[in-house]
Amino acid sequence: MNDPEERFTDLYDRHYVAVLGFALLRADHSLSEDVCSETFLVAWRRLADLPEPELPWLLGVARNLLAKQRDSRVRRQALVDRITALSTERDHVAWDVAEHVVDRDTALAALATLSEQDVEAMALATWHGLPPEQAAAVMGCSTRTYNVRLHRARKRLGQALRAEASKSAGQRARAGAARQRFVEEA
Amino acid sequence: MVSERFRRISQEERMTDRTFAQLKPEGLDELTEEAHRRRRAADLAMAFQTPRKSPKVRFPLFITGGVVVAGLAAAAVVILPGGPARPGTGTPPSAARPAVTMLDAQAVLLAAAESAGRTEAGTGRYWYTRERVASLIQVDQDEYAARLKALAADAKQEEAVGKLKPSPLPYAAFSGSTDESWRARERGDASRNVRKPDAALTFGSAQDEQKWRQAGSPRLVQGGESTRDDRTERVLSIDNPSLTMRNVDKLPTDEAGLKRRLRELYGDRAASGFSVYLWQTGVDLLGAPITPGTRSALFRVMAEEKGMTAKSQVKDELGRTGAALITAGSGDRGKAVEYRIIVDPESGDLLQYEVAEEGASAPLLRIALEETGWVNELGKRP
Repeated sequence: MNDPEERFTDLYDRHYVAVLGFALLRADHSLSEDVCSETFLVAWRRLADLPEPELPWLLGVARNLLAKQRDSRVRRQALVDRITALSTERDHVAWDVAEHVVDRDTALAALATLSEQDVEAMALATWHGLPPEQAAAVMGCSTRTYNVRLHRARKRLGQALRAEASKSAGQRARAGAARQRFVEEA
Repeated sequence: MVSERFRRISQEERMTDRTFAQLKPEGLDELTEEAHRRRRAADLAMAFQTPRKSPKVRFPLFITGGVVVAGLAAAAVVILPGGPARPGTGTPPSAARPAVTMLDAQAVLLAAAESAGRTEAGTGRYWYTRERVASLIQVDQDEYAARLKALAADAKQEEAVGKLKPSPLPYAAFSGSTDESWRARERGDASRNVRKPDAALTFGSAQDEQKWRQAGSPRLVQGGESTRDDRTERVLSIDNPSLTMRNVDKLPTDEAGLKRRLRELYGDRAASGFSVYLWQTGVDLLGAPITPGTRSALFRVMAEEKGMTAKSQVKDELGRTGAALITAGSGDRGKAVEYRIIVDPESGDLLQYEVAEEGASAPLLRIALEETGWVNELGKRP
């Protein structure tokens, strides 16, 4: 596989799904596919200089291309919107089966309170399965900084989930009390 | 150590991770796989038409003869089945023998199914294949590189460099090579790929060769044998990413079971029809270590497909006689594409496959399978 075309085709086939999956959680369908195509075009131009492993580098390129699209605030909202848009009945069923402390939409609301970097740190570890040094390469920071971010992200998401859980428990309690009053008054 | 501290995550953090993990929409993987199939041909073609940067050479080699063809072969994967097959058009050069008679495609495939079922399954550490590959050369890369260099030399033209399109060759010339591969069965074992390019070009006709001479006999291809060992697991069948060297011999061996499994693998991709999927998957599987039972069942599943035509007594690139099966679909460059395979009904072997644009005198790509089989050592032949 010494010729560049074959090497590139192999690179494309091995990583397309991961790169597009990464983009799809940050931009809509057609933009994601365009960003994905553009990412591989960059990879082709720089084929001679690609570092090993290649995936973090590819995700880093895709991330930079996506970063040009919108500002951070919009992107953060976009992630939650993207998850909502991509979610199907299957996700809700799977969620209910797994018996989480909060419902799926509430968990998404908790996610929306996190900073973009926090969500990204968790996504690279949990969704994309990258070890810290590779995730750090995608985010363009040191492994140590990434680890700090990941730790902080977990803590913040945990707090946000707890807050949402008690909020919805409170709402349920209030709703229950209101119902009770209604029954009594009737 | 900081890293140590972060490796030990608490029970609660694990719960948080689990919650977060499940927020990833399940449908994402299907979406991305569908897009991979749909975008592949165009993305590869786009890349191969773009100059690459190189640490040493400003304008390195791009577009070799095989490249655009590789893109087009991939394009054939996503072609939509169009009208009926056209047996009269674009006679494959490999099949250009006078004594061609039409016969029933179904009968050919059922005969192949019978023969395939009688062979014995082998086993080994590496699956060996040797193929003769002929690719229509689309572009003279030296000439293209020269034009790019000329543009790049002019600062005002710098922008145009990325947009310069290679011009197609006015004659049919082919690059040829013998490609050998040893695919490791076990994950983690190294696989090997060897390519030996032919020293000389071949031409569609004497007139084509004459036109090439008139153009100054450009070399068109870069030679050089290449050998590559690596532990990367290669995709066995682009349309079926879940098939591997370790499970391909576990496919069903009965017609109904295999058809069901292929339908499952095909899934709900609306973009390309099942018949085109079946042809491409069939070619992939017939070159892979499937069991004789699966091979037999595969021919039976293929025999059920409509819109195929067959010709008997055609010769492949290597002079072997078989029956040609042809199907057609609309290509993505506006032209219909013919997809042809030659099978030997006597042995149930796939001898050759070709992709050709309708009306073209020469196929875009032709691959003759010279030998396949199991071996236990890299570099050894069956």
